[in-house]
Amino acid sequence: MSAKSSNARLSRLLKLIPFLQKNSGASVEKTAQLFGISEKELISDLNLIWLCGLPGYSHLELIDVSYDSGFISIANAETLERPMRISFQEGAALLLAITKLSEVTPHTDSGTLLSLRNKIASLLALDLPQNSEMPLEDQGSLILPEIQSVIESSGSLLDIEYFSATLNENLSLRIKPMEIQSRNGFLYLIGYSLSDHRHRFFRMDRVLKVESVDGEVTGGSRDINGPESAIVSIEVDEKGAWFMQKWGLDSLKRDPHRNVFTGSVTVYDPRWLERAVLASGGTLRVLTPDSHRAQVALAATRTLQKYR
Amino acid sequence: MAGDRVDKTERLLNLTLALIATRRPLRKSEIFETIPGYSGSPESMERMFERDKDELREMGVSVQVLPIDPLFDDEIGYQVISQDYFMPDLNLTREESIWLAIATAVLNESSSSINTNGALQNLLSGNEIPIEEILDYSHSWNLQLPLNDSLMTIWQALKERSSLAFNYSTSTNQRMRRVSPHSLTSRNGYWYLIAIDHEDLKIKTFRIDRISEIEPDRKVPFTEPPESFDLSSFLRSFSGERIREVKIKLHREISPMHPLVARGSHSISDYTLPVGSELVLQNIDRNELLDQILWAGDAVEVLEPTDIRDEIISLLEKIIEQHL
Repeated sequence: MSAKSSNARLSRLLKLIPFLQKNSGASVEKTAQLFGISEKELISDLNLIWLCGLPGYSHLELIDVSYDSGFISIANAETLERPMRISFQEGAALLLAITKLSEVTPHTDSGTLLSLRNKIASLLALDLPQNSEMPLEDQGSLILPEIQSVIESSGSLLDIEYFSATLNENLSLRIKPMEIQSRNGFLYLIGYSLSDHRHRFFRMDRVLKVESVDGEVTGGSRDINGPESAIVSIEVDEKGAWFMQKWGLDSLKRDPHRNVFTGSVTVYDPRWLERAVLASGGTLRVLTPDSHRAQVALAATRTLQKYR
Repeated sequence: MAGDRVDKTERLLNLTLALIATRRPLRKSEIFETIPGYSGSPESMERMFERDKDELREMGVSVQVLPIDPLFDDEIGYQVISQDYFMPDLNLTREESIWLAIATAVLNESSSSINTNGALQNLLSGNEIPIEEILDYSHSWNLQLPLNDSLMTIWQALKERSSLAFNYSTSTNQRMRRVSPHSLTSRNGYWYLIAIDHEDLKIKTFRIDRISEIEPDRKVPFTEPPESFDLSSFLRSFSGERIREVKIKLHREISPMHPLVARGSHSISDYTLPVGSELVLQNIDRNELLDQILWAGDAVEVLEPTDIRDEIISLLEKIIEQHL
């Protein structure tokens, strides 16, 4: 046996011994899967553990293992009640993935991920800043994994509660979830909505709640060509650089005399455009089409009326 | 030696167990006498033990060489110190252990060169875990999340207090920076490194996603910030003007998940906040506030402070004029 493979085996044994103590009665099948080995290899590991223990090496000092009927129990192994520490590199890599996940998952999932992040960070003696925009409460949330299971089972539907930023309100929809996609640093759930028979994108961090329900899609899809869109031409002043960066403007041109940029953006829902222009506080100006320009003016007027 | 050949892994496991369990460092002679598998001439047992010790250290088991009697260091022995070896109890919840498996799956499909499957098994081994669910979620997720591994190098440098060198691009240029990292902070969804620039010894912020080709800088020693440096006041000026209290009125029902009110004290179980509610938002960034109030359109009205109210009115008037 080479040094490398005997190392790999020993390092597995050092995990197996605490694992079997914490998870008494684990099955041979699942334990082998968790450690990425065949059942035969696991049995041979267990037989080796049975030969080991503390000096003296009588039945009083040897570890006692049995796996009758396919379930494993272990005794007399208190010396290795806990596993070995992980390396800084390994912990930092996990922190990286956990931090990224916490930024793109539903809000309540982020709470659970941040609690996990703090545990790993304390293990590495790392002092990480708290992100003020993140929730601190751990509600034991698993919304993203639940959605993923429903997509994989492909037999069921999802009742979803979603905060729509475009509409500025919560939506409750029954959807057939299709896939999860990463775009511009966000995760999106793509689903077919049974409420209005069209495909919709849901930004994952705005999903509030999901529940899987039995059922299937009835009635045909009405939006085979995707939602209707308009190409809107926009003028951006120098303060609006963030907009170009965030949303990506096409065919960007700079007007050297007035220090403004013009470009175009594809708009699927004019209500989104309304809000984006209002929130820009005068940095963005819609040039064409006239209908979209008028809609922005109307939205601003409606808002202003609340102050009069 | 034939006849009582002991499997090498068995010998190593027994050695590890003995070194962890012992209350005092073990003499080499005690190890040879008690642990099954050491045999042959004294020289060959010696060579075996040296190789075993190296292999254990390579795996991360820190075998320490210590005096057997703390008062006299003429006789040495070997021991694994429990605090160094054992992972502290993490008390992972069922959900946390599942997320840990997902994080590992996400890493496996990223370009990260670090394999954390072993670390995952280690972390999980200290806890009672939902094995079947973890196996279900350990498959490939194909999320293609962009992971910024500059953060890993920064964490390590912060911990080891070492200097960093990286390429930094701003809208106008791109060049090498050499810095001593001080801390990390986040603002508006971006991560920033606060560090001392070795060029002018000034404290600066660097946006992490604009950093590339980062590596530890062994040439330059770590520089401490001046004693007068006050991180909290630096962060206050970095994060822009904050407004202590803003009173708003709702003209439409809005979700408690709305970014504007999610920071408030409303529990998520309130499904909506009714029309006519007046809410007080606290300690909010001025630009963020204007952005969110305007995004909400006619659903929200600012009542106080009046300068914010007036600013919103004038911005709306400007927008109307621009779109007539």
